[in-house]
Amino acid sequence: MRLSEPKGLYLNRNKSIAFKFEGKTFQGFQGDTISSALAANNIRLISRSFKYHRPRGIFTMAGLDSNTLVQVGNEPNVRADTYPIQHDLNVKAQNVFGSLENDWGRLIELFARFLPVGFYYKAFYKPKGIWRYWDALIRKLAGLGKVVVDAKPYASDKAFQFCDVAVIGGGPAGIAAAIQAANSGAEVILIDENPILGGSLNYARFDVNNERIKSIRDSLINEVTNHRLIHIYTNAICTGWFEENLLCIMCKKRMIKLRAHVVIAATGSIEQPAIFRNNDLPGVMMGSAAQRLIHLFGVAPGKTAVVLTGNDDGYGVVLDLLDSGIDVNAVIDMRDTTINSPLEIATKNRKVRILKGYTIYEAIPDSGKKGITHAVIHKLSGNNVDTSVSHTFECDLICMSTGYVPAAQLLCHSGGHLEYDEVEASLKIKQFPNNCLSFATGSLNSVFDIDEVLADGKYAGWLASKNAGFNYSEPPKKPNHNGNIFQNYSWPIFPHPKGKEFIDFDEDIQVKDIIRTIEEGYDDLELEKRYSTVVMGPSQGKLSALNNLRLLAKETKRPLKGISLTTQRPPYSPEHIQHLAGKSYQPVKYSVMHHRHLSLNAQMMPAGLWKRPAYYGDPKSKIDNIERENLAVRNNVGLIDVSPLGKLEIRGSDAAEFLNRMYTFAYAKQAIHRSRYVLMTDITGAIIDDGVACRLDEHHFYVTATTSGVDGVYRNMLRWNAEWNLNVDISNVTSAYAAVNLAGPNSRDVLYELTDDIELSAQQFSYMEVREGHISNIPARVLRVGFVGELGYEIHVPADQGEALWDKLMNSGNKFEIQAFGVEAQRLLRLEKGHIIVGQDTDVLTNPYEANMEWAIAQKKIFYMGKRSIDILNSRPLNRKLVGFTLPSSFPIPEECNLVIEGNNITGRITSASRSPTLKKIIGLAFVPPNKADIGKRFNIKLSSGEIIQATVCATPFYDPNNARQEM
Amino acid sequence: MNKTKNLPEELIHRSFVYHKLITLNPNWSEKNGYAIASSFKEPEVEISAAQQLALCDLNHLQRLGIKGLGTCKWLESRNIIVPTKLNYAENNSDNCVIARLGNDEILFIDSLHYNTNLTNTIEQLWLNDATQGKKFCGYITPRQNSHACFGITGKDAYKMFSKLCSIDLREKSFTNHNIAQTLLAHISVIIIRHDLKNVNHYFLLCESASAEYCWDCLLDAMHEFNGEVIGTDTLKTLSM
Repeated sequence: MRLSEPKGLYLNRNKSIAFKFEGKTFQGFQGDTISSALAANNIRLISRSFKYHRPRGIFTMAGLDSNTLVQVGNEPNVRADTYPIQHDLNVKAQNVFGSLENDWGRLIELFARFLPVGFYYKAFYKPKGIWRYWDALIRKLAGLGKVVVDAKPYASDKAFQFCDVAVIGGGPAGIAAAIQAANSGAEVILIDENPILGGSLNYARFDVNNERIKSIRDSLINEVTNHRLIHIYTNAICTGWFEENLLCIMCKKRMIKLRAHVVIAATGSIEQPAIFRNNDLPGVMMGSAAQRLIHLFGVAPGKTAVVLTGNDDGYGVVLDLLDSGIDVNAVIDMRDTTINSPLEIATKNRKVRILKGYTIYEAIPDSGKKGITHAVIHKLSGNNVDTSVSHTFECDLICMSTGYVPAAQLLCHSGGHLEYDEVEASLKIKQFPNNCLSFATGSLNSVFDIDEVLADGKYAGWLASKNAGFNYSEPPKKPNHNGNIFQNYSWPIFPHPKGKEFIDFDEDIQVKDIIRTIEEGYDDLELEKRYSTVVMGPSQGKLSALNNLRLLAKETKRPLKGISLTTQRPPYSPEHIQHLAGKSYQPVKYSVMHHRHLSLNAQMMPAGLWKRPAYYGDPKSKIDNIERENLAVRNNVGLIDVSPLGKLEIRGSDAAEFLNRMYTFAYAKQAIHRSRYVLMTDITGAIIDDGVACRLDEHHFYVTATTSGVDGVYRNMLRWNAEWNLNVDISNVTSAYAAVNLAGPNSRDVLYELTDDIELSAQQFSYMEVREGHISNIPARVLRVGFVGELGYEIHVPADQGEALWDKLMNSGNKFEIQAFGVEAQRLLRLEKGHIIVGQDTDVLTNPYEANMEWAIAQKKIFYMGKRSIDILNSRPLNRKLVGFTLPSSFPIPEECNLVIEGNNITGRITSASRSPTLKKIIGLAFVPPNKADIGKRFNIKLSSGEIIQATVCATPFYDPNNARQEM
Repeated sequence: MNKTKNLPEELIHRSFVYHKLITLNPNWSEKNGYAIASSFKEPEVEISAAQQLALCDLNHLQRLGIKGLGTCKWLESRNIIVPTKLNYAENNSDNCVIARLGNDEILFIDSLHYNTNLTNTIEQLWLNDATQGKKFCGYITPRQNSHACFGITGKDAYKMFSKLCSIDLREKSFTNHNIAQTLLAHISVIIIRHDLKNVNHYFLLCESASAEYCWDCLLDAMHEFNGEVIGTDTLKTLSM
């Protein structure tokens, strides 16, 4: 039933919203959550419990329990207490067999005595083979909501923020702290999970006449929202607190990583349940839940109530219920002393019956067991129930106010620690987070009186700002934590012979389950938790940890004093995985000629972070396109963008010596304007990179490296020279230079027209020489290299002129019908020449001798990286050898990593294979055993299809073995 | 100034993001051999955008690096200002930016008014000394081509950065002339705070091969704050 204004702080009553629950349409107001809107429509049954499928409804109205988990569209396990309704929201119950109203899963409870705590550790594995049947059944029963695997996630991202002081919790203490810290000059971020700041000021009854509280609230909110140094996040949950005050803040569509100099935790406290039979049924709820429904959502939580209390807050609940027109048949005060607090006196004045020294022993369910009709009351005798003195009160609502635990989960994430305090019958903060400047305030700090809370907040704000480096000359008065207000009743646990007094609602754990766990020997808190699963459900012990501690201590006869909780880990509340993933930033590198490739219909492929043209043309004609590009290079002229090639400048008087140490070849005597192959090995002698070194002057080498290897090579060079301290400067200039390879018998003719300061004749500019000059007025380094085995020029120019170079070359090559070619054709061309690709034809163990690269080792050098290992390897017989092989053209083409086999043994693998349009046969490279490496030997290849074919070892290069074409 | 779409392709030097600029149909002009996107909208509209949040392509600005043992001493011997602090940038009298990236690593960025010849002068001085065998004068690094350069302006710039970058770039933490060498959207960048008159302004340099990726990430992050792409004329106006 809806209450009239001003009740319903969150509501905009001018905007009605229709939504569906279990297929039926309901109306709510903007500001309603699913739970509040259902309660306003007199719907009390929201979910079914995990194990016994017991009916469940609103319990905390704060999203702290598992009783209101529902499926909303594609999203499972939504907390109906806090999820705002929207038009056309489709809400369904989860974990039901049949329907929420008629859930045949409820029958499981009939077999409860066969399903004691820990039964799953003892069942399912006998007789042998039975597990597969249980497995299928358990998979059906386990879990709660449904994961919709093809659901489309909404866009979410991450942001990084910084502040001097972060305040977690926008209740009275948090707001007071934020204002104080900001008044000292600190930049403050205030985080609150609710839509409106105020915390308990918005719903709790602090005074008989709450007008003073409203005034405090309005004043605080006005000041905090208008403070220029305070940034407020509402509807934002801090889910984790990590080292050095890194906070994880979950907003609706953004995860904020907040780094604060100082953190003030003002996260409040969590009201705790009493443990009596049927304490889980719809209609039994926390006192604060009833107050939230009334004040925040304008909903009457019931018609006739009984209030169970162990503190004065219960009387505040009574007054709120009465003010909302709800009959209160009795207040059951577990304390046997008369406090005569203003709230208690006001309750007496309202003629409500108060029973002191009593407790609720049992809630009587209605005929459908979906609500309650009566509360059975018994006299208390110490911690025990005297069943001889009994009352029964009619009610459809039981509110419980038995005490609180500090909401200290976040503090504990980064090293904070709670301990049980017997005087206050509560957990209290014993230790603050490690390596974090932090303070706690408000009810988290066990301060409950509103004036003390405000003073405590102010003081925490002052301390925080001072620690953040803001000196405020006049510290506020240090609050006096005299501890006069004890909120917790010490023993609200009342076992019933028939059970169903739930200590943990998440997984239907009753008092007897805990006792049985201890009896079975799991009497340590950590073991008890794991065996019984208490505190391990969706609410993570927020409502069960304290009572579990009490029960464990009693049953094990250990003192409660000093006892602590099990480890608290992030997240504090559930997080969406998509929030953790955030926006996907996938760095990508483009050559400056990238758009030219796209306009030529290039099919792009990744090469490390780069995008490179695989080939040009329709993917349906991929093979034809690659062959066409291959033949253009062999017979005419082709142009390939090699900008992603790694490029390094090595400069300084020790440059040649440096290369001598880094690479296997010799560079001291390398002539200026000549290039030389470079092969890099690691200290184990394995090949890790290759390229060419161009000597531009005595102390300057321009070195190329593989696209994916250059960053590693650069790091390697810096690391080694930090040790060697040679006079060299090493620069990674990969992106600074665009590069193309103009290759083919007509390449010289294409280039002739574009340069007048580089002599291109074979005599003046021979193979492996380097020139610096201009191509179409673009300053260029031109290398005569032969990777593809034809006359060719690798042209390197400043990147900002790279696209212009491409345009000029393509324009000049038009009359020769120049063909752009991609990586696929280049790989085929180099294979025809028998050149290896490091990483494809080598692996992390390949040494130069295995790869036939001994020609690239300067044997006389006394040192290069990997020399010692290579010398040792060379003194031993080889285990494998990289060889060229051929297959008839009609054979299927082996794939890379197809196995070389001998009998049943794997003896090698294919590293490269392709059909050569020039040679009209299949060619490839493979690792084979040394005894199969001689030319003419045959070996078996097992194809992916399982077929075995026989290949013949042949000499490499397959094409132009005398290298006449590349040296022309 | 003209609207000719082809101007960038008529010139040899091309901005690393000119293909992106073409789609926004700017007014082009020519400087340093580059086509420059001078403006996209009316000046007052762009100035307003610049004060809020805006992105400007500055790839045409002359940039030069020198690094290696002795660099700073050599520059000082040539009467060139060298910032005394690491990760700090100074302006010379012509409003060129001289950024100290390391103990012996300096980056020069030309003035937004292109009225200086600083980078050419330094390169020439260095070539003279280096070819005459002077030791320990560092080595030229090709910053013009190794790094793309963008300008980011406006009071919401740090909010935009906070979506892409994990370091504290709040106004009070990252004050004028400070330099951050960090990651932005998972790529290495150099951010130099270089305020214009009454407007926050940052140079952002990233690897030139990542220029289009970086440009897209910035635009995406700016969208939330209604950020705009502006022309170089606006930055010039704001720097006067």
